[in-house]
Amino acid sequence: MRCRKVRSYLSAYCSDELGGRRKLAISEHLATCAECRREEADYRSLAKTARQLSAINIAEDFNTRLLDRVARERFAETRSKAYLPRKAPVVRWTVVAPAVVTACLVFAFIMVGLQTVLDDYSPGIASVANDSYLTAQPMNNPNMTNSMQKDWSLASQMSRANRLDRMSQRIVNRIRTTSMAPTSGLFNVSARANQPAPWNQTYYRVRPVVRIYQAPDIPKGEETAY
Amino acid sequence: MVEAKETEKDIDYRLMRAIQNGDMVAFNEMVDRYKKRLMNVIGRMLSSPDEAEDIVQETFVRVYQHRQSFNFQHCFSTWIYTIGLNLARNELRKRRRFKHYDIDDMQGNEAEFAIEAKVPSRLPQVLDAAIKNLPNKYRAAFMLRDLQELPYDEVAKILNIPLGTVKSRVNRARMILREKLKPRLESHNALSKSTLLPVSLL
Repeated sequence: MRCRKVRSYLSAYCSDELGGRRKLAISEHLATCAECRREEADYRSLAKTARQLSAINIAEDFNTRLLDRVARERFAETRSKAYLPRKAPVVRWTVVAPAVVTACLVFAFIMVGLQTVLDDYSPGIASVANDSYLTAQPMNNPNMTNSMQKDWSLASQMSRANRLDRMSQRIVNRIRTTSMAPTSGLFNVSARANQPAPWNQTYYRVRPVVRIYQAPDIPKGEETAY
Repeated sequence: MVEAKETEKDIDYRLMRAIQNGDMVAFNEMVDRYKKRLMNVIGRMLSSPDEAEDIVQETFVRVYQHRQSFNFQHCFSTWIYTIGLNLARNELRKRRRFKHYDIDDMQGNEAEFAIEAKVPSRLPQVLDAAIKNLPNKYRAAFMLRDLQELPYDEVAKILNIPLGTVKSRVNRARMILREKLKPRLESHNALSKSTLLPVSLL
């Protein structure tokens, strides 16, 4: 082997990283070449010094500070696991408002149509209200992140369904309690949930479905007979 | 006692399982096992020990946050070094983007130079300074291999580069360091003659 080649392997040789034949060739060369031997000594003391390098000091209270921080991290984790909002929920009304307005409008239009049909049959209203319900179609919620979207567990589905059920109940009750004079025109019906919507809840486009039953054809004057 | 000796890797795995089950004592033990090693590597990459300590802390916090995603297929040491080095590298990159010069820093450097000019400092200190001045890519490979004494394949995994590249980088780093420290190494060797004299001459 020539000096040039030996030197390219020398540092690996000193750290004992070479295999049999190459190692042998280099040690043979070193026995004859003083220049390379000097270089070898350099590498050996370099490796030795590197191993002896003093450790960089770390602060005494490193562990305490770290564990404090991790404890805070743990706390945040349990909070999010319990579905408690970390910060106040941000409700984007720009997103919610159109949905609510369409729902109301659709409802109103139907009721207006209803009014014209039911003008003469006021007993029919009760049967309409009893059997009406809301349909809901999930919409994109810009506040919802990917990780939340994955939560399609039965429990959360059920809670969504319950929520919708409650809302439709409220609307129906409102209709029932409102005295709807046969002559009244356009009116608004809306329902608000008891507690504010959690920020990880989906938004729904709500459409009322109103079943209309034909009331028996009774002349107005005989209403009291019921 | 028939019980086999627990290897480093086994200890890491045992602690990590405990940490995944929320054991904070195990976490503390893990911190004690790795904080010095991480500090020795990261402290030589960043200029101030305070900053390095922040990065080391951040590394452990990440380990805690992502404890569930550790699959027991690689060494824990590979994982934690990867996290730590990535954080350190990000820090360095951030700093290059802003390029701020601290007046205190400059004065500190001046003072260091002055001392060095007067009193020749010891070889380990000179080596420390030389390592800090190595180009980034050589430095990380050199430190993991020669200071932490990790096997080449683990270094390759940590740095996410091929094995051959690691070997050549380590070799190159050693050559650069030798070039830089040449005069000092030679005087050092002259003091301890035994390494210099070939067997045949004795």
